[in-house]
Parts: sequence; structure tokens; C-alpha cells
Amino acid sequence: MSRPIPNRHHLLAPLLACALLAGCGRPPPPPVEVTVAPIPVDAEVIEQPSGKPGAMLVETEPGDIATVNPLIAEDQSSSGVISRFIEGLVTLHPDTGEIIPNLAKSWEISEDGLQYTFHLRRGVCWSDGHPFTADDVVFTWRDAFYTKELDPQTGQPAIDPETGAPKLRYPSRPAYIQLIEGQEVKVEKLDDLTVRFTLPQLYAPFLLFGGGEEILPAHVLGPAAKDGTLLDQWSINTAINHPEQLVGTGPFLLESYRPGERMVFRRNPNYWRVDRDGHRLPYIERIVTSIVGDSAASNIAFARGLTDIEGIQPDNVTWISRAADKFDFTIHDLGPSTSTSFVWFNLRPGNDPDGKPFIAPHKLAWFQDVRFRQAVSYGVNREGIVQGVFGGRASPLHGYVSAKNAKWLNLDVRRYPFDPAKARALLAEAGFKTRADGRLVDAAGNPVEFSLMTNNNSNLRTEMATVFAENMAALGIRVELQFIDFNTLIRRTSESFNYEASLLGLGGGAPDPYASKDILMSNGRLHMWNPQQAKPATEWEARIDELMREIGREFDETKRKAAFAEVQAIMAEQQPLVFLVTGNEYVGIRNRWQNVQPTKLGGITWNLDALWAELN
Amino acid sequence: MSNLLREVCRRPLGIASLVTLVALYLGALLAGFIAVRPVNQQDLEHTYHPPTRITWHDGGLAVQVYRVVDRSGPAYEPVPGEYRRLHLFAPGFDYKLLGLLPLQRHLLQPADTDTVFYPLGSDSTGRCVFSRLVYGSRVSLTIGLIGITITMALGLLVGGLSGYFGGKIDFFAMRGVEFLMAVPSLYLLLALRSVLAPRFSSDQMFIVIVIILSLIGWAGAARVLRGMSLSIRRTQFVLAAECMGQGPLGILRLHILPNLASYLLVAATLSIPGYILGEAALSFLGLGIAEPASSWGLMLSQAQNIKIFMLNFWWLLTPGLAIFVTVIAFNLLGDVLRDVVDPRMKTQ
Repeated sequence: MSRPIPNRHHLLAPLLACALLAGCGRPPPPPVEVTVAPIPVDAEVIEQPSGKPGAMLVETEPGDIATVNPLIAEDQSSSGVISRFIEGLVTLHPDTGEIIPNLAKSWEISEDGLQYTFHLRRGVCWSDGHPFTADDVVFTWRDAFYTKELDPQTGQPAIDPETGAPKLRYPSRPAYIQLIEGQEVKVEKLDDLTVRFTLPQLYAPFLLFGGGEEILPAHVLGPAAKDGTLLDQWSINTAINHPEQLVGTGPFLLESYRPGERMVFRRNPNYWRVDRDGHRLPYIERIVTSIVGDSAASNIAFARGLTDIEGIQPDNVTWISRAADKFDFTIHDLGPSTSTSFVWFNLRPGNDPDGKPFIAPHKLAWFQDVRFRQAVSYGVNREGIVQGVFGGRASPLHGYVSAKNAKWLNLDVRRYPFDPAKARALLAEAGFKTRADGRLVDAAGNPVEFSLMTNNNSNLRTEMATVFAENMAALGIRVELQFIDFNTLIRRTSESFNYEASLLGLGGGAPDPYASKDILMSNGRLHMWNPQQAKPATEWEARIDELMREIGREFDETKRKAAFAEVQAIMAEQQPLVFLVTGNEYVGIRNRWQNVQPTKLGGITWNLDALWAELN
Repeated sequence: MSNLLREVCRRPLGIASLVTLVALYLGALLAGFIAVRPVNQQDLEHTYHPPTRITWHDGGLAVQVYRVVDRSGPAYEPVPGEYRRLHLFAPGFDYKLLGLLPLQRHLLQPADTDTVFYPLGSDSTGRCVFSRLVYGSRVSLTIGLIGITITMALGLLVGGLSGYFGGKIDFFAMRGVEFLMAVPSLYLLLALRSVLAPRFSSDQMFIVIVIILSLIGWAGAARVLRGMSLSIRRTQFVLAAECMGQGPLGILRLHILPNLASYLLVAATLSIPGYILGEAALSFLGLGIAEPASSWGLMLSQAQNIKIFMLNFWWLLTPGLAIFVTVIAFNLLGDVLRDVVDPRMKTQ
């Protein structure tokens, strides 16, 4: 299946024109000389048995990339490609989820919890052979993240008129994430292999979020950071015409890229991990990634034996597994995934710019009544969704955290088993009555009905919505379903607030609860039911804000867990998000691959550099 | 008219298509009576259930019992020798016959309410495909009738008048028609649908879409009718009527309209399939009928999941068969009507 290319050409046309114009004035980037450096002194030796190099891995990617610049990458496809060649100082253990060394071999945290000193691995080189040092770390933080925009007239840092804070020269998502309550982290180079970060205030998840930040090569991007073109670097254009410019420390480098068609990755000759026999990883010589239209096309390609490795939707497992013998692959069940699904009601008070309320006041009153939300939750047949929609390949979800994230999961929260009688009792208590024709009406006699939207390109979500609507019909509530385009949906939930209820999911499942602050805190951008509140609208939201701030400050693991457990308990009690189910995660891989050790957290690709296959 | 009917019934294709269409429309009219389950009743224990076999067992109609083999597929197999009794005209769920008469009797109902009975299998949430097909036919079959009523009425009005009067009226009417023909209808539909979607509920949306479809679809009919009325206007009996002082409206009604009627009948019959296919296409694109209502196009769009092809859930494609049969029947009937009508046109 090929994607419609013309659109992309339209997008690219201005870029190409710029490149051509720029080409007149500026010489093309200098050729990159690749030297193979000796194996680093501090190379990490992997535990798995040694294999043979040279194999090629074929895979598909649903959706094309938008950029290869980690500063501006927002979508999953782009981030996936970038994470193959750009890495952070620390990473997560694929089994335990603990923070383990990556580019840094060790670190110390000062007693007051404000100073983090990282010791880098000795001898690690960028893929072009240039040594990786503390300068790169300092460059990434100081020059790429924290450089200020200078006012051309005064020469002083320009001030953002809205916030009053100095404007960043390269406003990027990582730069904002690395501002702690708006303040910068001080980064110093102690020597070539030692960097010290000094935090402005206590910030517990710094080791994970700061240490895990991707480090950029100073010797490649340094000139661009000086002349102000850093955000224009490493564009799609670079990936097409000069992929050798994309220098990194990760296991695989982009070798060629054709938009909408395919990407080819080559092994990094200067990678810093070795096997037990002292041979440099990775074993895989090349990865060929075909770009396909959607995940269904991707799943079909795997089922027909065209690709080596594939994440499989729960409802496709049955038919794909029928081809397992023919094409010699195994499907691994990784248990509940981190992705969740839920229904929420629009709780935004006030009026839109036209002076009309976002939602009719009588409906807002229902939605704001916690008993109404609880009744809805009791009315949802989660077990039925698991059996019917997912064919048993899912589990009911009772709270904010999926079962996969066992470390932070609080099992002791209020649960809402399927119980229409209890739902009716709660509705009666909240003043709702059932009319003679079975319809539910509120105290003022308004029939209870609302519209529920979800994105139209996910059959699992539309089927869940259909079940939800039927469950509500059993309570006398009429739900009108709207299956719409994903981008339209996001616009309505986050910009125009012109909707009543929505069904969506969250993926990812962050390793640290503080990553959820944008969702859980009332001023968050992703606080779905009522985002970016000036001050918390309800007492329980205020309490969640307080607990989340504590999670951000507190170092003591047990206290953080207790605080997050309380957050989960509040979420379960208040039901701002009526959680539905979490699907299981499945990955398939051809049996010719060795060293395959799927883990619940890392999936199957956590040791991509150690996978190998016999050449045939 | 009865003459026409007799002529149609004399031809085997004519009678076959007529009988098919009458059966389909009767089914739509009596949907509640024919359906075995309420249109939206789900059964999450029996999703993607294959069509249950109906046999003669123990001196009565009976349905084969199935058991789940694999929950995740899901896959079912018949349990040999186990049957459940079915009754004709037995009581079942409540419905209103023709939207008026509250009734409980159905054509075919299992004796026990917990019997799994899916004449055409079940869909992704365990709803009965047969019942949805029957209820969905209401949308799919009436959309054509409403559509051509509007199209033909407008076409006749504009085409007939401009052909009769000619001159400036003709000029402006025909430029207007050309303007309408130049409107890219799919884009107009997409735009109108997204603009109007929040204002109408899904069943109102259906009517809105038919009206939009026919408001931009009458231009072609208007052109043909204008040509025909232009030529009829020059015939001697019209000139004679004019000489005798009959007014234009009288002439249109008594002399021109009867001569256009045969064309109208054929054209209408032949353009109904266009609306049925249009509804299917729009619903398939997610722009037509929305859940929880049912239509053939919507049911087909829900069958485009790859799982359905890979696991061979063929019964979910029956709406496609229903559309096929209906469209063929209308086309055959249109052809037969033209055969019947054409020679008479020549003799006049």
C-alpha cells in the first residue's frame, strides 16, 4: 500500500525552494569524515550470548516522519527514528524500570538533592569518530535549550510580553520541559568526562527527565546554534539529501530516506556497547523500514511474512497467529499495555467567544455531579468490552494507572463493577427520575442525553463507544455517537471546548508519575475535562495539584508512592475520567532472530543492538 | 397505469424485479414484525456469531445450538444434535407496526428468550445482522424515493416551464442549471456535512443529506425535460390548445405533463439506485447515517476491518448483497418500463 504522495510534495515544495535559495549563498554542508575509533574503555558489555553480525531486519512503520530534529519532533514516528541515533545519559531498565546508566556510567546526587554530577563513559565517540565529551552535554543544555533571544535594538535578552520571562532563542518542547517552575538548571563542565547540574529547587524526577534528555553533537550542530538556524537543522531535507549529517551515539544511523516510501538504517560503527567476546554491537547491519499507510497495513505485511518484527493490535492476534507456522514467527504476549481508554465529560464552565455556554447549563450540572459520573461508571460493562470487543485480549481498567505500571499502581481504589441497579440508585439519589417510556429525566424534567465523540479511524474505540451507548441506553440515557476525524476531535476538546463527552485513550504510561502533571494538574494543557484552569475549580482538583507538587519535590520513594496512591484514589472516587479497559500488548518476531528476550516494559526492541540472525 | 403494470408483468424480468422490490419495501415497512431482535440489542458474549442454522426438528422449526471454540477469534461450532424450538408469530420484543400499532408478535421467535438466534450472524458487538439489515433497509430504500421526488419535482418545474416559455426564462433557468452542474457535489457534501453535523441529530442528518443530494441532482433531469417540453410545445395539439385560448398552466398540466410522464417514470426508476449507492458511499466514508441508527452503507463501512476478511466473517458483507439486489432490481424494472413505454411514445 502506498501513501498518497502529492500532498507531501506540496509540503516539501517550499522547503526545497528554501534549500535551493540557500544553496546559492551558502556552500553545501561539508562532507562528514567517518573514522572508526577504538572500542571505548568504558564500553558496556552486554550479558547475552554473542552472535553473528551482518543480518538485515525489515519492518514497517505506520505513518511518515515529520523531522529528525529532536528539538522539534512531536509525533511518534519522528521520535522513534530519532531515538535510534540520539541517546540520553541515563535510561530505564527494561525489566525493573529502574534508572540505569547509559551514556553516563555513574552519577552522584548531593545531600541537599540539588546537585547532580554525571560521569560520562570514557572513550565513547559520535558515529563520525569525534569524541563524546562533557562539552556536548553543556552544548545541549546551555546553547540549545537555554540561549536567550536577544533584542536586536538593545542587545539585551528579549522579554516575552505575556509571561515577563526572557524569550528563548530556540523555543522547543525539551527546553520548556527542562525549565523547573520557569527556572533554569545550571550546567557546568567539571572536566571532559564530568558534568554537574545544579537545580534551582528540589525536583525529584530530574534524574529521569533531565538525565534522560537526548544529547546533541556540539561539533555538528554548534555552528547552527551560533548563527540562529538550530531549529532548521536536521530537517526532512537533511534526512533525504545528507543523512550522513545525522550524527549520533545510538546503535543505528539513518542511511537513506525516501518520504512516504522507506527509511534505511545502518549500524553505527562507533557504538559503545560490546558483546562478551569484545565485538562491537550492534549485530544488525541494516534496518529497512517501509512506511505504510496505517497500522492495519502494517499488521498485514507482517502476517504475510514480509517483515521481521511488528506490534500487533489485540483484535488482530488471532488471524495473524494462523500464519505463524507458515512464516515461522512467534507472537509474544506482553500482558496489559500502558495505553488506557476512558470516557470523560466536558466540565468546562463559562461561555465561548460568541457568548454561548460551552455546554448547556443543565447538562453541565449533571456532569459536575459526582454521583452522575459514578453512576455512568457503574453502568459500563467493562467485562463485556473485554470479551466482546477485544476477544478477551484486554483487562478492565479501574484507575488512572494501567496494571503494567505495577510500581506505581494503587489497587486499593474505589472500583465500579458493572451494576446497573447501583447506577440507577445513584441517579435516583442525585434527583434523576425514570419516565414511563424508560427515559431518564433530571429534576427539571430534561431528558438525559449527550453526544459522545471518538476518532473514526480506530475500530476498537468506535466499538467501545457503541457498547457504552448501549449500556447508557439501559439506564435510560440517550447517547448520540459522533465518529470524527482525530484532529478535529483534538481541536474540539482542547481549543473550542465545543463537545459534551468524548472517548479517547492515553498511551505511553510514564515511568514517573510526575510525567502526568500536564494531565492531572488543573492548570495542565492535557487536563482533559477542563484544561488550563487559572485556579482549581474543585476541592479535589486542588488536592490533586497539591499532591502532584509534592511528588515533584519529594525524594523519598515511599512518600511519593503514597502521594500518587492518593491521587489515584481521588481520581477513582471522583471519576473525571471514566476508565474502560486496557488492551494487551502483542509483538511478533520471526523465529530466525536470536537473543530475543521480550520484557513487559521494554517490549522486544529494548535490545535491538543485541539481536542477530544467521545469514542465509 | 394498469395497462402499464400489465405490460410489465407480462415480461419475466419485469415481474421478477417488481416482486423483488415489493418484497424489499414490504420488509422495510414491516421491519419490526420481521426482525428477530431490537435493532441495537447487543450481546457481548456472542460477537461475530455465524448465521445459526434453521432446521426441521421434532416436528417443528428449530435452531441449531452453537458453542464457543475460541473466545479470542471468536470462533463457534455447532453442537451436534442440540436444537432449540422456534415459533412462528410468537411474542417477542415490543415494537410499533407501521409506527402506530403497538405489537409483540414477530414472524419468527425462539421459544426461550435466551436462545441464540441469528439468522444472518452477529456483528462486532453481538447485534443481529438480519434485524439491522431489515431496519437499515428503511433508510436505504426510502432515501431513493425521497431523493427522486425532490429531483423530479424540481426538474419538471424548471425544465417544463423553461421549455414551454423559452426566451429569457429559458436562458436564465438553463444557466442556473449549468451552474448547479458545475458544483463539485462530493466536496459540497463534505463541507455541508461538517458544517451541519453539530446542528442535527443523526436521523435528521439523514434527511438533510438526501435533500442536499437531490437539490444538486435535479439539474440533469431539468435539461432533458426542457428539451422534451420544447419539442412537445411545437406539436400541433399544443398549438391548437393555445389557439383555443387555453392558459399556459392548463396546457402544461393537460397536454405536456402526460407526455412527459412516461419519461419521468423511467428516469425516476433508473435514478433511484444512484441514491441508494450514494447513501452507501457517504455512510462508508463516515458522512452519512451514524450509529446507533442502521443503514446498509453504515453496516458495510463497519465491515471494512481487515479482521473480518481474514477470519472470513462473510455474513457482515450481506448489506452489500442487499444493495446489489436492490440496485439490479431497480435497473431491470427501469429497462422494462422503457421497453414498454418507448413504442407508445413513437406512435404519438
